[in-house]
Amino acid sequence: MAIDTAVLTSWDWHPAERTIADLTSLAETLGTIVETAWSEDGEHVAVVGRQDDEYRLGRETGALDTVFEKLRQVRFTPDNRVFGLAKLDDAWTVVFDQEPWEERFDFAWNPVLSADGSTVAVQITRDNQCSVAVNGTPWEESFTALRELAISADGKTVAATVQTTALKEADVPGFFAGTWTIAVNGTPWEARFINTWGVCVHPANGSVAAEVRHLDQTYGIAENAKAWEQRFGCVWEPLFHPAYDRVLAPVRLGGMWTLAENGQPLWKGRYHQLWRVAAPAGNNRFAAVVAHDFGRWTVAVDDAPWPIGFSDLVLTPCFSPSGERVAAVFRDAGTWGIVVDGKPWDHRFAMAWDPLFSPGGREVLARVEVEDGVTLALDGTLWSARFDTLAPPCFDPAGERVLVRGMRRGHCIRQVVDLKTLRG
Amino acid sequence: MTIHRNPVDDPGFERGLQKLTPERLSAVVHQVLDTEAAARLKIYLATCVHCGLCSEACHWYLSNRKDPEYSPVGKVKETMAKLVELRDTVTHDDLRAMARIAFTECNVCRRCSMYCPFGIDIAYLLLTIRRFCHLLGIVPLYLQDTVNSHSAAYNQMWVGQNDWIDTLLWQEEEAQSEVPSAAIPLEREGADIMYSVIAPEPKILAQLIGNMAQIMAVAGMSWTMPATDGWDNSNMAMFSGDFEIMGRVERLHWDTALRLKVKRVVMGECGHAFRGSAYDGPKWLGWLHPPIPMVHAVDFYHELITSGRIRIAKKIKGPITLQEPCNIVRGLGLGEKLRFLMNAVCEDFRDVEPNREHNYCCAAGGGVINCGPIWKAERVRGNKEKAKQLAATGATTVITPCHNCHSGIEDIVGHYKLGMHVKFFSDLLLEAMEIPDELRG
Ligand code: SF4
Ligand code: SF4
Repeated sequence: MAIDTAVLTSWDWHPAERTIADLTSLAETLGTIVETAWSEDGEHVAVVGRQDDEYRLGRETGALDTVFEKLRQVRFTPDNRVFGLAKLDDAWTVVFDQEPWEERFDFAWNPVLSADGSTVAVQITRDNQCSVAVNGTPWEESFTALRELAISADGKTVAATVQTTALKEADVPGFFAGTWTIAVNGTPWEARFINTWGVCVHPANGSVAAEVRHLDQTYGIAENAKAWEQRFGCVWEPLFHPAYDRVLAPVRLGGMWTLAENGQPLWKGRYHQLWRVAAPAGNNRFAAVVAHDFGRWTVAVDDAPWPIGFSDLVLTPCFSPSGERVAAVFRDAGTWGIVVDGKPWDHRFAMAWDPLFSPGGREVLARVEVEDGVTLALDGTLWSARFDTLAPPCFDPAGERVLVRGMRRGHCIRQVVDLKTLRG
Repeated sequence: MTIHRNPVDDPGFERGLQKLTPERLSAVVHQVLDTEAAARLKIYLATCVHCGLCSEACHWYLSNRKDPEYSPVGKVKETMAKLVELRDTVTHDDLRAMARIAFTECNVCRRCSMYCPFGIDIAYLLLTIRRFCHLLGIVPLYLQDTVNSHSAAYNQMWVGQNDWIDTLLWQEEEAQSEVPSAAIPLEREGADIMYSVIAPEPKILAQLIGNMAQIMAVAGMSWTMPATDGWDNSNMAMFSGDFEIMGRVERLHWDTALRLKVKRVVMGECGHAFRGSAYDGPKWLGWLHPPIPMVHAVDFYHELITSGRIRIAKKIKGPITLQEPCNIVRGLGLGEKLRFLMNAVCEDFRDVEPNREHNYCCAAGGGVINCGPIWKAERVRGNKEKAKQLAATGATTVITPCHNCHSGIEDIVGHYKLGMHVKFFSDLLLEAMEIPDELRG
């Protein structure tokens, strides 16, 4: 979810470079630095240090006091609190800054944060049963297995793929009788399926959809506990349009793939593959990665594939805020690149990350790796600065400057650059 | 021809047969023979001149007193040739026999194709029978259970996500007791390598992951492992004929590597997992080749030693031989690199005969060992030839750079009382490699 403009405006957009933290000096008190995380505004850094069997959290200002048996997957909330998974007294929990949740679990993993930062949900086990803890409170229900988690933007809906019946070893008939479903805020749907995967939650209205394998082994999509009537040879995970009440999914028909809505093929095109569906908040469109020829990959926007194709892959298309323009990462004959509205940049890279449009949609910015480090490329032009790693960049509300959060020789650097500087 | 085999009852066969209706049988015959099967199926059947030259290639035939029923061409005659002839008039007994032959008496090792003057891909014909049986629900019970695990847990042994992560944290500690700076970096976006393994590693052979953590630390590699599903690159669905689940497993494996922004995937010592990730899976998904490079452990160890990143401090004593996994030796051509590795770390490497692409299968591969304990006696009897081959080397240790080979060879070593230790190559490398003093802490 895009960061709120009022929040963005409040950040420091003065073009300057500041060192936020020096990992080498932090390591003196924290031990080996095993993780680092940036706050969204680039003003803060959190690190995890390991010394023998002890783990400690550090901020840019220094080490915090609490010692953990383990500490992992540390991240910032949008309001600059740090949370992560921690092991204390041989039990796992979530810790915010230094404050652990009261509840402890045999194991806790896969923390997901709602886009508004209000809710953290985490998968847990207790007495060999799986469940979810939301903001410190476990669901009342627990399950034999629970594997995928999805959360709405406001954190009010948390959904998971769950197995509700325990099976004995090699109980094949039991498995095919259907043991999987979706649990929403702890309550499982009534229907059982052979499998459920790809659970997703509408970012705004909390509707839930997932891929299902029906008891007759055909595949389909279920929305809010009701399965599409139509069955398919295979399906991939559904996607809710962020601004409309629509759910779409790739489906396999007669050995070829297309995009379907409410059980019916929406697109006329039939592809060797269709996946990585995306939809913009700005208008009512859909894009997907398709193989229109076998082994040739491109983007199709509203069923119109770009004429260009790539041999290795194309990653999920990224829309401009208005939804008019589309860009994506591709890999072709072993090198990575960025393609915008069907036209690839000239440069090729050792690695490329998802491109980002400026608020007005005119410019495209991407993190890329070149021979001597990681940098940014704006509309295909490489910036001269180099970093060891970069966090995702961010435009200011006017689209004139970019916030850079990078690591260089052990220093965490916050830099605001204007587009002119990026263009060199 | 009546099939004189020991009777074996597999409840997995009866499950499908009980539910089978004539309509379903007709529909599946049509789907497989007229829609899905490539034109090459018909060409292969029409080309075969029944010369029997493929027979001597098959360890099942050699191990079963050269009974023609176990010859490749004999197996095709009782399965695909019969299906093409009888179509939906096949009987339940025909189907039982077809399933038994296709799933439990062929390792899809492709040795026979090298001996056929026309290069007929017999393994493909038998895999197509497996696809047919899968669509009818006639699949060995334990193999189907493995596929169910793939579908529900994205790994072949029902490993929970909590157990996966916990095992990695534990193995990191184990590795650190030898090499204090060793780490198993979880979810390290932008690392050069994603290391993927198969489920027996976290489930029963966790030390292999710890071995790799030490090797990576000594070699100074930038690597990561996922703390999500997508870490298991094995694929028994490829062998049960469930291509939809096969594709799903491979898709998640590759998507996980792409999510972690790695440059390549290095995989552990497993043969069929290479085949699934590099060939069969990508093809079903629409790729001509994997989206980013994939390197088998044998290739990776070769790279580490030849580049000087790993130095051998002392060679291992004692006669040591080798089981060459079909999928990486016949399939990928790693025979020479494997010999380089064996000679680099062993004082007394005893080669097998025949070897390289002519080596015999372990009889566990191709999903056969996953057919479970019900079929174990038949499987071990079906590879007496391998026991003879290994015994002739006089070795006391056999290296198996593949999980299926490892388990299959252990069974053969036990049954034929070969008196050998069965090890992975990383076990040897760990003993032989130099750990610089500065890394010992
Ligand atoms: S086991 Fe190998 S040699 Fe024997 S029939 Fe099957 S593919 Fe051919
Ligand atoms: S060697 Fe080839 S042609 Fe001869 S029987 Fe075997 S498959 Fe048929």
